[in-house]
Amino acid sequence: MERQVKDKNLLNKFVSDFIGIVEKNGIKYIIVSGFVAIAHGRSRGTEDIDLIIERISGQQFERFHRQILGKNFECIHGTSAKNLYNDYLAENLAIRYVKKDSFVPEMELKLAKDEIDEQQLRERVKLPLTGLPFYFSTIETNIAFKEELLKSPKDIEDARHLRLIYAEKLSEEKISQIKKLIKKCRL
Amino acid sequence: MIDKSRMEHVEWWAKKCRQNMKECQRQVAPFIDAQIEMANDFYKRLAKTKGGMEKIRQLKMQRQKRRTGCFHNSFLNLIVRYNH
Repeated sequence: MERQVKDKNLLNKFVSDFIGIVEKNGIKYIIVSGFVAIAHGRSRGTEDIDLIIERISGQQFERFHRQILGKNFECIHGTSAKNLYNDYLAENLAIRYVKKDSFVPEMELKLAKDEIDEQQLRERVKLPLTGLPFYFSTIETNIAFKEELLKSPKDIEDARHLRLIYAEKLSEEKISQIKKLIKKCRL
Repeated sequence: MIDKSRMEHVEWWAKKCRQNMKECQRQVAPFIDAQIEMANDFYKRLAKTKGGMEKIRQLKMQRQKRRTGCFHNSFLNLIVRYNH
């Protein structure tokens, strides 16, 4: 059955089409960063959606890649699943998919690469307030990344937006803990 | 550095979202669609101009480098497709 996303805009439809195939393949995933803020009403544009998936094998990726191509997506780095896996994903580099005949948006897909990505996948959540049926990394994680690692004006604004939306529910302790982990793993 | 008035606008909108998320999402949806449609229309027009694909490649490279600190020069597929 095709997943339902109410009041689809182009971005939601793009994500829905892609995630449908990810889920069909039983791959654990999280959507992170800008799309999380946009899904909470943040009024800004974006060219890409960031997706982290569990460390699947080359064979699993090959099956997924074949199916995603069949859904009118193409990978801008090439067509060979073997090359994409060995040259990019296995090296912890992201690969990007767009809809055929489109330049944007891009789905930026990467494998979980360290302790912090594994934790994000373990703690993934659905966020009913978005009205979307996808899995996201926790709001605390998104805020921590934006404030501690990414830090562009856009990221700081995203973090502020999310902080206000979830003002009563946020765990500052959790945000601090993730920031420490970011310092340990990424800085 | 984000100036005070800009952050006040972000906060003002976030409060609106808190009050009525669905309505805010509804208002933002056409903007999101328009942004994607305009970007694609623009890239397609640019792709048809002399040196356009190279400019797109540079733009994408610049963007990726800003985001990840590195770039893998692999937009050739896209370039080949749009040149045909």
